[in-house]
Amino acid sequence: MRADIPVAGSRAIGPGNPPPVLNGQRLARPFNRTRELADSSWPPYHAMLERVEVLERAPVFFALPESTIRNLARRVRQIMIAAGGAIVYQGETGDTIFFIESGSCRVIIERPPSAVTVAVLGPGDFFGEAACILGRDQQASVIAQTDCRLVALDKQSMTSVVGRDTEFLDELRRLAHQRYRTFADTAVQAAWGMLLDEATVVGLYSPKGGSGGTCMALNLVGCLSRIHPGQVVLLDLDFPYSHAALLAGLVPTSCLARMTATPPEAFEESLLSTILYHSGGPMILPGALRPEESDEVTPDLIARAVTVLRKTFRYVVVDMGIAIDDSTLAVLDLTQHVIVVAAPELSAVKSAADAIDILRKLGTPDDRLTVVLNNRSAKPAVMKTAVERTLKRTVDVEVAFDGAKPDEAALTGTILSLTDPRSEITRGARTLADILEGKHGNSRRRLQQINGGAPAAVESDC
Amino acid sequence: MRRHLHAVAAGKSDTLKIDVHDGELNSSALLVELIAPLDQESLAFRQIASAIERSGTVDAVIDGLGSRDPIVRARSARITGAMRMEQAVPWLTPLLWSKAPAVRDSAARALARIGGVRSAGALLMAIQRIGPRPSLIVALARAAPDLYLEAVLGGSQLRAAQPAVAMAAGLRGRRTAAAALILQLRSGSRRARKASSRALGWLGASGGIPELTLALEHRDWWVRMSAAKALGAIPAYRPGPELRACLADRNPRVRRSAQDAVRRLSRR
Repeated sequence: MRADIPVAGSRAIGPGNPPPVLNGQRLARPFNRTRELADSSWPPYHAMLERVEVLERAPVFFALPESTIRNLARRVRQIMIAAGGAIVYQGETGDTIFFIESGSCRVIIERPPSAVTVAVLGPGDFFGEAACILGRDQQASVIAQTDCRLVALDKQSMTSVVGRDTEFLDELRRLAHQRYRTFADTAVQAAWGMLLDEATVVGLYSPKGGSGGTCMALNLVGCLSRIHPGQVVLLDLDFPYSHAALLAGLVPTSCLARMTATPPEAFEESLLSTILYHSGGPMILPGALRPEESDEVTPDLIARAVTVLRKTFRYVVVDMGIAIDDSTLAVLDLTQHVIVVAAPELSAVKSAADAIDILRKLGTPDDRLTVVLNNRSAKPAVMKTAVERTLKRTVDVEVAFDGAKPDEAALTGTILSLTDPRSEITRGARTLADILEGKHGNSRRRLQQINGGAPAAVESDC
Repeated sequence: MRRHLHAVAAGKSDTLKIDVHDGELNSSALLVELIAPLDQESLAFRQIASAIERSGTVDAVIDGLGSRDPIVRARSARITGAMRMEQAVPWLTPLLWSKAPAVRDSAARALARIGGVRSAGALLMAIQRIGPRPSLIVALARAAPDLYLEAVLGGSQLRAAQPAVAMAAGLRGRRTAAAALILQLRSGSRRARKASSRALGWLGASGGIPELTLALEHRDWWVRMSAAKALGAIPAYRPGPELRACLADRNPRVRRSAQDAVRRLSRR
């Protein structure tokens, strides 16, 4: 059957003019036009290609077989929404997933008396999945920030095509749950307001691959999150293969590299909306999702990102790559503390010694430099005393061999410091967290005392 | 039959043969009764669906939609709706303008239950063909996915169906439709203005108050009456001189609507 729906549209709310739900008042401006571009079981060839491309860009959907994506593409609708137009309203039911083909949308959660922008979504993102898949009411209102071209996939069409693919549906549900929690947490955090002073930036540098740098970073963030829930973020700049989110069992949908073209006024919101929230407390900001995207992360972009993160969190832990390039130097400029992770192997220890020399030359004071010796095997090739002799300084934290636990945790997507208190990695991460708290937590408390001991001022985001 | 249905739902039996031609036993009614409270993603629903598919009942039901017997057609339509058989939408569409009222209603209900773009498109086609029947409007409100009705309301085609679509948008109760309804109220036909006014009232859309207030002074009494009724249903509206002027309108139906509106608003 050919569903004989014409080229159709509706009026949308004007730019800069909040919809009725947001202010409870009349609409002051005339409405702009919204158009549905096509709606047919058999769309034209070029429209079909566009739809397939949009679906393929979306997380989770890109894993579907090509024939399934084509079937979905035949059933979706393309919709134009003018800037300022409301697409979904918080609290209403929903049966459609909207994919953004072009333009950007603002996700707003109302928490009377204010409304909090929890995310700005761009091309390749989708929304409405929690209402459609989980059957919950819309968690947030979504307003078109610019003229938007959307692709709408309703529940019935999706069920007809992928109803039997339980693996895909489970993955989609998992993503929906994850984003639901992230938005809820971001809204709460924004409502609480900014912290009084800026975060401590901790750079974690591992000069030799395979020394367990990312594992230590993740577990350190886990430990710090237990002390400061919702106030610790891991910025994953371990290029070209950034896998911190994967190791934590999270599905990244965007990354820092994709913020290069974001206008300055929307940068902060976009950046915060990209952060992934782990149910145990830590948050992760992926640097790049694909190896080729790592070139997009410039020192300027890192500086902008860290500036935003410092205002929002208490600790920003940066997992740096192996190479000492412009990006690494930019991070080192911004850090208050550097952790060097080395494995007890000859090449790793030699590299660590060189790295520590460079850090000293860059002006990193010894008391802000912590060396971690991570034993990746039961019988280390180089003993601790030999390591200390080579490094010309003491090892601050030694992590004993933890058996297969780190590998198993990576497979199951768990963070050991949150799930296994007896793990050696957890013990090492806890010692590191104590060192950081001792050095930077005390200075924070002193700063608060100097400021009169007043609690953090709570500002509304909007 | 009822015991067998429960056994299938519990996973104790994996085949379910339903004879829509059976003159003595209305098995479709039993199936619909069992299925109605189930969620589409529940295990019981999926087990019944797979049992029906396995035993070839799906083909029999779709064949039944083309039967000469209106009772068989109506029964088959009810089963397709209960089982959310989207593949049956093309066969359900012509039943919407069947001469037998039971068949028409069953088809409309089935499409409402199936939902999605294809069902909504079929209902819209029927509205264009046989006019805005209440059962079709209600079914359209239930079947239409998000932003579907809004898109149709804003389009330049399907002018004749737009009053019905406006009513469906009001019944659906989504605030995203308010903008499109205000546009209809501003520049639509007489019927479209009337329908949009009522729909804005059902939505309780405070954004429509300025346009509805203007509509109180429209030269067409039907539009004035609808606007008065709609304003009476919007909690945020405070009666102004325009509504009070309607209390002395030359048309008695407008006067009565304005009185009702003032009474309703003063109770809040």
